Amino acid sequence: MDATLGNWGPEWICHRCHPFELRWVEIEGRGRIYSYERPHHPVHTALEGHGPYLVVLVELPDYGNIRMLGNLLGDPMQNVEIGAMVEAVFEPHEAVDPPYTLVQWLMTGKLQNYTNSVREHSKDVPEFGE
Amino acid sequence: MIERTLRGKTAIVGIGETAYYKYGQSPDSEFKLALQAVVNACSDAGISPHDVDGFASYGNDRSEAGRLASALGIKELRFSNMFWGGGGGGVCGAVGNAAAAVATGMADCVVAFRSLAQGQYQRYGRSAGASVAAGDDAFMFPYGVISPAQRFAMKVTRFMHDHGIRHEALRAISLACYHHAQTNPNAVMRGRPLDEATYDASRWIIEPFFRLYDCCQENDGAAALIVMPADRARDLEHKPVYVMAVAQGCDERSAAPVHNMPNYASSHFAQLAPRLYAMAKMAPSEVGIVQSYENFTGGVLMSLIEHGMVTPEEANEVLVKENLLAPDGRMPLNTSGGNLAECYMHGLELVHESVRQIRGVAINQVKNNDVAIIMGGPMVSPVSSLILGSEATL
Repeated sequence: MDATLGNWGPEWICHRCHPFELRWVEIEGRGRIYSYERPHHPVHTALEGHGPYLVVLVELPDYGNIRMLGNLLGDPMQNVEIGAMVEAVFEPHEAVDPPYTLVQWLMTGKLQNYTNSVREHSKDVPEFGE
Repeated sequence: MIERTLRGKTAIVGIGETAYYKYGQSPDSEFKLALQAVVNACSDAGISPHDVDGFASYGNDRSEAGRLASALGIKELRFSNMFWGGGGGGVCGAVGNAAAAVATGMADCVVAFRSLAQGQYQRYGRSAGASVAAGDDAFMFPYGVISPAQRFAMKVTRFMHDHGIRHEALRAISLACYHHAQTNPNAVMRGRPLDEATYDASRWIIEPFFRLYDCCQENDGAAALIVMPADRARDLEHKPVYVMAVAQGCDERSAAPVHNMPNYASSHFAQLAPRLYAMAKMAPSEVGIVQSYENFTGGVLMSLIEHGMVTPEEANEVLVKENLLAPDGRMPLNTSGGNLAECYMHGLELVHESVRQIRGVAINQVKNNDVAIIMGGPMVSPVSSLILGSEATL
């Protein structure tokens, strides 16, 4: 993929020279934290009792610095530094109809720990749409 | 070539508002509040509601122009207009659209208004609990990015990080708003002064820069103002307050999906502000009164910087409470209490306060009162800004 031509989120047209023929490209799940927030106040009933939690905006230096949103997994009170490297993990939600999968983020080097605890963690994740 | 401009062609001749309430406290419906605000604005201008021939609003206002005109018995509605966007980014744009209609002869007497009863409909700070999230929401809701605060907080995080600005600068903005509200009889937060210790002890809405007092209120109320041609404004009761410049729009791709706007850590005024000053033929140093829409104090900070009122390098030093107070602070800010402490009237209360300041009848009257700037609804797309001036500025 040409590093200058990434688009996110999905759009009907590329804003650079207006082709409609866009395609999905598989990329490396590697990025760095561009910004973050730690919400405490539950604004939706599904969030009550689940906060605080961490949201990160991750830029992908290998793909034109397009940005993706996600939660930073692990301790919600962990220290977060802008510029820190993170890696993508897939978080399946199969108990809902229709099932869906979220891209989430882990501090680089934490993947093994996450894999070990994923089954435990998934029980606590609130499901929207239920 | 004929210069195309709105500068000095129209004036605000009347302002009116309802009593302002905490959300859910209004005894009246949103539409009745709208009618009260329009009638009050006409009364202030010394005209009859039958003289109105246009309405301009924003924020997806539910009080439709045709219905207002029918309820008020307006004989001929000649202009109805809605500024795009669900947030307060359209507050100055609505005034500008009213001014444009009047300046071009489409209408003679246009009301710019906003009616918003969050108690009757929906609180902005609380998700309605819809089971479907569409469009951009589909990429944000699953991660718990739902409310306006949650959508905007990361812009502020990044801006503070890039420029080394401390949370105390945001605290000063909040303290100034609450300070000014204490003398304003229509301020919802009158009688609830805020000091540094209370601010510092307030709960986190979102770390690292959104404490409770960094966030606007949720209210019920309505406000309206009347725009007429400059030459007719001079025959009316009050000193005309001239529309010197308006600018609105989006910076480059500022509504790009899922937080992919090129200038992310921004209030979205960076490209707009030079157009505003160019139309006004003024520099930031000529502005005496600053009204900057507070959805969140971080938005105010970025608005002030992008409008050239303060540089990022001097923000920590300049943004202290004393500098932001009427009557003679270096940069009197939100002199009636604003969205934080007067009422979240979606920013229109900031325009009303600017009119009172230029007339010279404000409760917290600023001495240098010929020019006011209003910066509407930072961080949404589109946004808008306005410069108002006295006769001396024409």
